[in-house]
This record gives sequence, C-alpha cells and structure tokens, in this order.
Amino acid sequence: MKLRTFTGVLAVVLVALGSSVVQAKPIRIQVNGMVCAFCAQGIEKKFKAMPQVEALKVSLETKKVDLEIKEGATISDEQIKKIVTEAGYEVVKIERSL
Amino acid sequence: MMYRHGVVLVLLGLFSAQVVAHPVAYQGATGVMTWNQPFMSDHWITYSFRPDAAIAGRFMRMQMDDGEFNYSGLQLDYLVKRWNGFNHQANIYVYGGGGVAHFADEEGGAYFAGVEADAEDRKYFSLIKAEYMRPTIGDEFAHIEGRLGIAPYEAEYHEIASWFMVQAQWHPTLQKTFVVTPLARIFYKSFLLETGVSLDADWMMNFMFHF
Repeated sequence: MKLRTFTGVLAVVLVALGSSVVQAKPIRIQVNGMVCAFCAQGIEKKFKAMPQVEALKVSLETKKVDLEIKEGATISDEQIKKIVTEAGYEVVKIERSL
Repeated sequence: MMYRHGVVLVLLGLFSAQVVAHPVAYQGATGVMTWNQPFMSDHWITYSFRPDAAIAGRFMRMQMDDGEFNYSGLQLDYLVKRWNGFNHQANIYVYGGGGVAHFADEEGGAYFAGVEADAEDRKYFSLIKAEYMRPTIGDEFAHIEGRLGIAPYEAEYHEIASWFMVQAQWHPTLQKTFVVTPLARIFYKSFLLETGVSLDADWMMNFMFHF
C-alpha cells in the first residue's frame, strides 16, 4: 500500500472513530450548604449511582457540582433536585449547555 | 502542601477530641461511629432512611462513681431544621431512644432524649448538645457538650481536611464531671478521625465512616 493510500484510509478511519466517540454533556448545579467534604459525599455517591452520569466534579470553593451526562442520556431538573435534596442540600440553579 | 499538612497531623496525633458529626446523613447512608475516652465510650451504627431521619443501634459505656454502666439499644435521630446558605450550614437535631442497661450486676431498662445544634462554614465550626438518660437501675445521666473549631486551611472536596477544636463536656454523675479536650480532626472522603488529650490527660480517639 502506498503511503498516500495508507494516509487516506487512516484519515477515513479516524473520522469514523471520531464521530462515534461519546460526547459528554455538561450540567452545572449551584448548591447551597455544601461546606464540608465529609458531609457532601452523598451528592457524589447518589449521582454516580445513576447510569446516565459519565463523570462528576464537586467544588466546595464555588459550591458547584459539574455533571457530565452520557450521550443520548437525559436527566431532568426534578431528578437533580431530588438527589441534592436527599443528600441534605439545596439546589439554587441548574445550568445546561455550558 | 495541604496534603503534607494533613499527613503531619495524622502522624503527630497530638491533640484531642471527640467525634461529633451529623446524626443524620444523606438518605440511604449507613454510618459507623465510635468515640472513646477512658471514662466513656459511645458507638453507633446508623441508617438514614430519610434526608431528615435516621435510626441507630447504640452501645454505650460510662464510668460512674459506683461502677461501670452499660447501655445497648435503639436511637431515633430527627433533623428539625437545616439552614443551607451559600457558605454555611446550620442544623438542629433531636434524638431519643430506649434499651437495656447493665449496672452493678443488675439489668434494667433505660430511655434517653437529647438535642443538638451546630453551625459551620469552611473555616469555623460550633456545636452544642444536651442529653439526658434515665435508667431503671443506677444513676441518671446528664450530658452537656460544646465544641468550637477552626480549620487551618479551607480544604477542597478531594483534599484531606483538618481542624483544630476544643471540646467541653459536663456530666455530673460520671467519675469525670467536667472535661476540656483540645483535639485535631481530619477527614478524607467518607473517613473521619479525631484524636486528642484532655487537660487532665485523658486520651480521646474517635472514628467515623459512611457507606
């Protein structure tokens, strides 16, 4: 296989792979009362138990929880509020499509 | 730097305290708490079945003037009110329960009730609680406790957090009626450890985790 042909095939393969990569959707949740990491473990555990959630990041400094949702999956505001409330905190704002 | 600070605190284990954590955790959480001093030990296994309520098995040992008093029984914790602010949280809890008491080779019943209030941000911590236990054998038990704490740095979520605290306990029917204990608290994720030595040289070691 000549180099030009190989490069072309490789480019096609990479484009195909790239289009199938799961793109995570970010959601940012502003949470009141989140001052202690020990007590806020419930937020992480409950969100990570949801199959829709790809990844999660908690910041005590900004009082924000950043969620990445799997491609094709959805999570409603009501579900988010329920989880945060059951963890003992209060949702102030939910931002989507960051 | 913060991690190094936390590790140094663990290694030193110099100061003293008593684990005081929220009686009710997140819904579905199981917690194990044990705090220990020479004159008193208290152990709980709790399950938070609602965001504002938990049930616990409690095992307690107290050194009274006339001997050792032991209690085993159930406890119900209820979160009366929580204030969630941007940079603070405050809570009021009530709790109570009943079970079996052992004292001086006798067995009887006992019931108790208590109230606890705390307020904290990432830098400061305060707590006060009062508890009263009435057994059918031995002396009644009253306990008032207060705590003030300060964090040397504001730990982020994935960092080791450390606190310096001072705890004052008053329980007139125990061998030690008034105890002041400086202590250090560290925690990481779901694991919390406290250790200290009172002004009367009584050690303290407390541990707690959630799963």
